[in-house]
Amino acid sequence: MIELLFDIGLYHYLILALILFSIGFFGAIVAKNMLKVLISVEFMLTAVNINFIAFAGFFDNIKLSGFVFSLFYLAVGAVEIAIALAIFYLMFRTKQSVNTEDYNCGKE
Amino acid sequence: MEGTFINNIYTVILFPLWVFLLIILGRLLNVIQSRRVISLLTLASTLYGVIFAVVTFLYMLKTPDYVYENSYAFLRIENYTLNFGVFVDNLSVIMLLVVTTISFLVQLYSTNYMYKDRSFPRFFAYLNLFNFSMIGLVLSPNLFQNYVFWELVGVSSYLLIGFWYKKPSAADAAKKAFLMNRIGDFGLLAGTIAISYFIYRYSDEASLATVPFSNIGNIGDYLYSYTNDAVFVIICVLLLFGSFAKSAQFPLHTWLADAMEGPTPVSALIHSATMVAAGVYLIARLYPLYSLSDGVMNFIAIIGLITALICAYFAITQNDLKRILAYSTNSQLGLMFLALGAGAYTGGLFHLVTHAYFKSMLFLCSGIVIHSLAHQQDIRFMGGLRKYLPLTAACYLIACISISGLLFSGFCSKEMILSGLLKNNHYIFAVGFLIVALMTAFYMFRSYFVVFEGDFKGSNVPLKSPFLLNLSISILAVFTVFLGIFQKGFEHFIKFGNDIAQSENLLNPVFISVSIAVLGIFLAFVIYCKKNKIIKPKILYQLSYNRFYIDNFYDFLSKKIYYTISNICAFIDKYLVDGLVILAGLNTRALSWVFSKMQTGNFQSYLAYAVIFLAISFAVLMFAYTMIMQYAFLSGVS
Repeated sequence: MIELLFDIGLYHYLILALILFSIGFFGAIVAKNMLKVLISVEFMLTAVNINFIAFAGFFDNIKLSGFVFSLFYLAVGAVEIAIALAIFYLMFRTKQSVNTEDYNCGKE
Repeated sequence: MEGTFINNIYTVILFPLWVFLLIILGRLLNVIQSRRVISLLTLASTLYGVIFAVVTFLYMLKTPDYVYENSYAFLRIENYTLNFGVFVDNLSVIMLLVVTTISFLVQLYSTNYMYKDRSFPRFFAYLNLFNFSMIGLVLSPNLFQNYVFWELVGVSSYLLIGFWYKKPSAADAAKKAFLMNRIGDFGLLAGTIAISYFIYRYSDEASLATVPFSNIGNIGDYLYSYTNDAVFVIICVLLLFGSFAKSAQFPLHTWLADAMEGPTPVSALIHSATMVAAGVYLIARLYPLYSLSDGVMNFIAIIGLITALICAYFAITQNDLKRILAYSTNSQLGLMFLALGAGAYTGGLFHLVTHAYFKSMLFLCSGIVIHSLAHQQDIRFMGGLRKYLPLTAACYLIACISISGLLFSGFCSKEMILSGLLKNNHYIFAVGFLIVALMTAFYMFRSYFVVFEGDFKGSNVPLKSPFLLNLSISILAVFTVFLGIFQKGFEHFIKFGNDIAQSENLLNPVFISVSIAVLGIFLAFVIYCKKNKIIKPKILYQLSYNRFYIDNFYDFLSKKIYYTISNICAFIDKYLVDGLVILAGLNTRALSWVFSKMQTGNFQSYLAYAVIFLAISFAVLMFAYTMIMQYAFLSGVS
């Protein structure tokens, strides 16, 4: 049992990623504040990155393409969040609210 | 000259139809309103029929074995031709004579009897419709046309029984008669189609497939050779069911007594003389077919005997004058069936003719009595009417003597039946016949003594009977008295095979039956005229008064069992079949409700749906993948 806790293997990383992803997903669908939703999306991106790195570290020690890909992915995530913030800023100007319940224009 | 009459005999069928349409349309268009015109038109159409019938009959007397057939193709399918037309032979001309004369006299009677009724034109329209269908039935050239007119007769009977449709009992009786007749008509139709099928399928002569009456002997032989015994008997029994329902024989006899709710002239015309005799007529028509099988003949005779016995028994205790006569009719029809089934063909048909005259006279007399007592039908409130209505009493007495087989025409026809039974060695049937004769004499004279003798028990003084009513019953009385003379001629005119010369050694049967009739009359005289106290066996009396509870049994059958079954069916239909349909609709509605509720417009819920759907589909894919891999490993394919 002790070994299972301290002898870190692939599954620990995967479970950590899963927990992070779940927290992110949960936050994304229940958060009332729009900014919290964006933060939760970041959580999910991070979880995926951890997956990449874990698989790369355990299976691909030569080419390191997983690490490189995760770096690209971080950049892409930063760009995504910048665009999302821009969209949010524009929408905020019309709605004057950060409450997610006011952003129900998907029905129209 | 006779040729002109015979060639135009189809007009006898069409004239009443024309008058019927004239009255109905004339009423609608307010053209013919006068009652006198209506009744004159009707009488003219029937008198026309009487003249044609008499001329044709005289011509047929001169030229024996003359058969006239004239028919047109009504329906043609390949080599199968359904003809409609007229067919005249000895049997149909006799029936035509009976139908038209009685019809004429009854119409004469109802001109006066129904004059004050508001629906006088409707009544005469129906009478014409009945005339049309009955004459069409009698002159049918084949079984299919016979069936069509058979139904028409049933319809006009329904309309006339329910003539006073505002009375619930009359409406119920009409429905009952119609339903009972439908049971029989179904059998008749099924039998007709079965015969047609076998003949068309197996015989070379497609013209026989419509079952023409002119060739019924051949058809019987063919049918007998193409089918086995069981099928032949089933076909015959199906056909017989039509006759049983129309002539109110045992299992279906209950409608006739209820049919007395109709006006009295209708009872005299339809439910005693003509329509109910149609069943006997059809049996006589198809006699060559039935006589091929002894079982069928015995079946007819046994049903007839049962009906004759039980209905005579019922008649003894009834208190309604018309009901007594109705059960008497029923029992006499049973005797005709018995005679036909036991081989006394001529006797049975002669009894049909004589019975038609004296029974319609009895009904017309009862109509006069009821009319003069202001619609009182219960014989317990009559009595001593001989003083007020002497002619009616005399006619009623003549008919009673005749129906008891003591004198006049009834004597002759009953003798013919009895000697026919004895000649064919049916001793059991003969004993049954004598028992019926005893009961007949008893209940007829019971009604005579209670109604016409003793003291008057009603409240208001009876009315005198008008001239027209007296005229028609007097003419019928003349017929009743003198028809017996034609017995010998009838034996030669209507015969089946070599079934003549029945009237030898008549002494014994005459003695027995007359003494039995006298015994019955004496019993009735002692009990009902001299008012001797008798012990009424209570159970027997109750059984007879309640008609063996057969009506109650049918009521039970229809109200309890049939209603229960239909309630169950209705329940299944309402909740199971309809439920499935409603469930299908509800299912869609529920799903669409769920889907519409899912469209919140909030992006977070869409996100949740997307992830949940992905998770489910991924799980399914994984499951399928593992199953496929497992199967591949197990079967050795990798």
